[in-house]
Amino acid sequence: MIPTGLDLVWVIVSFILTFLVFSYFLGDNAVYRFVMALFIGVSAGYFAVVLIFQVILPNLVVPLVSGDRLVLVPLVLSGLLMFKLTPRFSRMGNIPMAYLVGAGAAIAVGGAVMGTLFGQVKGAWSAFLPSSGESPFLAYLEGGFLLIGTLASLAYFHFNAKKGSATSGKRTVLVAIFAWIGKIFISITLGVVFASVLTAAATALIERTDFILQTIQLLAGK
Amino acid sequence: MKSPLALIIAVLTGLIILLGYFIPNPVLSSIRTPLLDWAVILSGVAGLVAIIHLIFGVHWEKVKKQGMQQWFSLVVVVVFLITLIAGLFLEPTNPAFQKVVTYIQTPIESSLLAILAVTLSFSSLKLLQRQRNWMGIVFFVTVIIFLILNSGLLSFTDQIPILRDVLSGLQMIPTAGARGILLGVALGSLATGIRILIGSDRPYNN
Amino acid sequence: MDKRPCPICTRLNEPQETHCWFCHAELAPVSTDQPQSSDWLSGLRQDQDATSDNNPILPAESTKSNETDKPDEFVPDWLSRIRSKEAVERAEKKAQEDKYWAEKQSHSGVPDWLQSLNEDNAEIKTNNEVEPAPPDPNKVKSASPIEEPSTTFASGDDWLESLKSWQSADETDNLIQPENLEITESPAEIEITPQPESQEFPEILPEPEFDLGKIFSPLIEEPVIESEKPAEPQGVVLPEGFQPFDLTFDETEIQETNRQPEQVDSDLSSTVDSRPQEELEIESAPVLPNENVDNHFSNEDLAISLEPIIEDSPVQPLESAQPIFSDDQIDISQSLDQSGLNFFNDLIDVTQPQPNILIEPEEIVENVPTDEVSADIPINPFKGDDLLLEPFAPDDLPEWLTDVKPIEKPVKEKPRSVTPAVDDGSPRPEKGNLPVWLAALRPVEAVEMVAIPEEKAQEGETTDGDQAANVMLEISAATFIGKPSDLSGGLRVSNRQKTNAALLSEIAANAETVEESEKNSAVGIKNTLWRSLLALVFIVVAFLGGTVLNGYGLQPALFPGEVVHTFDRINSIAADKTVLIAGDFEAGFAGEIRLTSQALIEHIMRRNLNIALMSINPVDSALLADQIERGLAFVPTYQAVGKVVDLGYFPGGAIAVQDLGNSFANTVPLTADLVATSSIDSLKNIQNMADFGAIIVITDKAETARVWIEQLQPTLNGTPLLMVTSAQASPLIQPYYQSGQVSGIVSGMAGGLVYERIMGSTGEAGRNHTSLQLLSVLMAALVLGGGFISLVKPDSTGGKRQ
Repeated sequence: MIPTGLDLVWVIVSFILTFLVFSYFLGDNAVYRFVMALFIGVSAGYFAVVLIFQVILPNLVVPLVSGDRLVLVPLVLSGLLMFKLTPRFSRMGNIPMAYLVGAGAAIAVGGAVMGTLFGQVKGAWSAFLPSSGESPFLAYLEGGFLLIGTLASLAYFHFNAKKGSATSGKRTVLVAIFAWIGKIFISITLGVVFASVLTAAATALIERTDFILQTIQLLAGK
Repeated sequence: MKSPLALIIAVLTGLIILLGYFIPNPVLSSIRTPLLDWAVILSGVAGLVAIIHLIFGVHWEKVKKQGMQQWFSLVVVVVFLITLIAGLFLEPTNPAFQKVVTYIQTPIESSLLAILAVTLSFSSLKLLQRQRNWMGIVFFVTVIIFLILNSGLLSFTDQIPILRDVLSGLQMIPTAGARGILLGVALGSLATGIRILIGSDRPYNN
Repeated sequence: MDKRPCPICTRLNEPQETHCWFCHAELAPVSTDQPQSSDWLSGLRQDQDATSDNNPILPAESTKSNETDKPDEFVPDWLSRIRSKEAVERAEKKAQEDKYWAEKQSHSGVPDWLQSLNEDNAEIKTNNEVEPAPPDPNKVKSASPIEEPSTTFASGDDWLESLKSWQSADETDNLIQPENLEITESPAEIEITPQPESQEFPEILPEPEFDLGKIFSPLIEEPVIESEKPAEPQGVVLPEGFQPFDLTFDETEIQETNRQPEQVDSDLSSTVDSRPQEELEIESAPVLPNENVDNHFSNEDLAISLEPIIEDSPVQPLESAQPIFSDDQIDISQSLDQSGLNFFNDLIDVTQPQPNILIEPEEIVENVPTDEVSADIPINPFKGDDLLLEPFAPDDLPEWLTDVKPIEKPVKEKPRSVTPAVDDGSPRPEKGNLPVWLAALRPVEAVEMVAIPEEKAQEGETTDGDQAANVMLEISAATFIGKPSDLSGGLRVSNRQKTNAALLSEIAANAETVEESEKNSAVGIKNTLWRSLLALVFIVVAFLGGTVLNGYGLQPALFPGEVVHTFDRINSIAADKTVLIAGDFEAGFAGEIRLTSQALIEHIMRRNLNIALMSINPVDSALLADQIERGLAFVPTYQAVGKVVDLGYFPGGAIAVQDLGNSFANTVPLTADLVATSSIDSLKNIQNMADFGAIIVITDKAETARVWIEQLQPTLNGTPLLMVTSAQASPLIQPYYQSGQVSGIVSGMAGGLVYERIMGSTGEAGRNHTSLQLLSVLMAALVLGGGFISLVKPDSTGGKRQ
């Protein structure tokens, strides 16, 4: 699809902004900072518009206009939250903040228990179950390997000392062995994560170079 | 003196929402649902407060001061106002207004991520210089192997059963490690959340 | 053999003499130490000895000059220089004094001191007619040994008695006498003892019996003829500001000196004074008639102005250079225990113009040897045409004398302490151990051993410097080492020294910062160049992969299970079901997400499924809409209108997801266009999240994926939860896929490529996968090469080792 008219202008703007950001390769400079300032302003402005139209209007204004009295609670809480802008009355915003923190903490606890803990323990168990066409021995091996790796990784974060060893503060022998194994697993996992981050960044670079190439072709074709 | 009302609100709200996870009670659900709705609304308003503080509390103050930063902050404020006014007129669902995201915000952020590829590669040159130990070497070897694996260059190994099994077994290691990490993170979130729900931690009191 | 200074008048005497040639004081034997007299001069000497030893900025040559002094006397070299120059003066004026006293005796009727003043004024008048040539500093002769140290003023008369003889009793009482001044009968027995408030200055002066203006005018107008001044004897070098003593002054000058400064000022108000006020305030010494020097050696005559600062101003007539005592001068003079002999140390010909030389302790010139001339000292004490014959030119006094405080008992040596008594407010240095190399350099004389074990003392005699230094350090740890008593008086730092030290420290600090910034800038430039080069290589490789080398990349042979399951799940969605696509990714990952998810969205479109878009990130609504637009380009048959609904943005993160999972209809009452969801066909039957055909979460982070899985998956009841993620989130989501909580994962451009391969289509992922493979190989090579170099290269950054 070949952009025309205003779209072409937007494409050229995007093209120029890409090169302006790439100027960072030469070091921090005023052009780069200008682009960052532009980015911050645009992001903040767009975010504000989205909040106004998609959060405040449909959730506060419309229900209030339609006569929903229950909306007074979030309305009052929102008003109290605005006091956070003033240093003098910022304490007034502690109540809505407490509300948000309490709700977030409960959701985190519930999700950790119901989602990760139960789910992953079930998953660790289900690894021992052979899938269709799979050898049971292979399934047990795979499950055992995953279980040992999981326990070892968990043991690495275990820092309780042996009772009575006030001076050394060392772990027990078993925990120490598992922790050492867990260190290897975690090192490999973090290495994989780092490689994935490099891949993601490289993909972004490829996408940008592809965009530059296509824009050049577009402008050349024009 | 720290407000006890905030503590009561935090604990009550948290307990009601948490109980809803384990007790499927309609009464409890009828109380829990508006609490969650109000929390979503408050999250949006909190975002608006953050934007107002960023523009008028930070950058506007910098505009008043002398220096090079004054001009950059002025750009931020001016562009914000222009975008806000345009969005108020066009609305966020307008494709014309959405071009602000697709042709300004996205290219800039994508370019920043592209820069990250170069800087990360440049930094990884000194990987072993900083961590000259066995764990560092393991990390170093893992990065190289999985960079090649993720690229797909070793896709020919799928034709070789032994290599295929070895590589698939190799990929189980990060799965096990990730599971341990996820469990650890979940346990940490659990502990932190419980501390807040029992009132031991009060990050909202300042 | 070295000359011996007189303990009273400090004039140098021949070694073989037993009495001072000037004051006839008995000279101390050579072997004995200088008696600790309580006079102010001795006190000055002690203080100066202490300060000079503690002063670290003594001229280097001063140490050399100190060696010429008696070994038992700590005389700074500047004092030695002063004394040597004084010796020259004394020799010159000795003859004039003899003449003066002789002439004085012949006068009658008129007071002798006044008669002598008149005579001197007459002489000055005639002398000032001749322009004196400025003396050539290069030709200043060094001090020569005094040939007649035993010459007295009069023919054997006591000099003090001769001083008193020409003074009448009334005049003596009315004379301004400085405090702390005691004059004994015999100059040989004069002891300068401090007598505070022993005498008071009479406030009312006797009226002059003559016209002062007439008397003084000749002195003002007549400059001292340079040629008539007694030539400096060979070998005597006058210190800065010092002038030969000229005994040609009259009684009018003495009257002026006897007056208070305020009175003098009032008297002079009628006189023409073209000189600036500050010059008026310039110290001037009382004028003494030469022939009445004995009688004039009263307290008031010994009120010496001790201000050494001499401004370089043209010589003014005498009337403008009245001997005005400043308050400081009076205080100083009053505080000094002056004997009649003290002022001879500072005898200056006040008829000569005062050279404008600023004398400060640290500016004291080198100690000129007695037989040499210091040619680099631009001193011209005889400059000017109008010379004021004042014996006490306060400008020429050395600064050490002006800095002398009121008589105080010598400061008792404080108990030895390691830290110097620096009173400038700077933090005291911590007690620390000397490095071995510094301890080895430290002179032994600077350290006084309090108690030295014999065995260790013997060890200290080794020739090995390090061993000796180590031994000294051990001894210092075992015993108390302090400086000799003379050195422990504390460190005195002058203001100029402080200023210089502050300047030096500032320069050093700036130099360091400049060096560090330069170093950092050099390293920064190097890194910038390398980074730029690397970026260029990356971009070129990406370009090549997308253009020239496109198609040469290796295609995946086997498809990952998570991608296949995703395909299968979408394939199994009922046609009337709505698929919820939730976006929770940043705009920066939009490019990668597009490459990853494009094929999946096209698959949904090809199946003609309803799509509901929602975003947990504010920008995702626009980005998802853009992706729908791009997909429409590949599936033009898909009718987006009516099938694609934008539900808008939901803030709160995990709270919003939990709210969605709790009750979708309650949470999403309106669309982004503020249209009720219950009125939309594709959404009117949706009450919970489980009512959707599939929930596809597009995210860039493992954290958001985890939130969706934790909050939503327990409520889905079999509805497939599919993840489209960035490559960086894939490793931490695999456990969820392995546990069955996630039905399928498509991660990264590689996953998008596989999905395209499964679909049998060609999209952006297929077009760019070669670039990804090349860049991945390049990054792996960089990491490998950098790792090998780091292993081979020695560790210079203090890396972590185990």
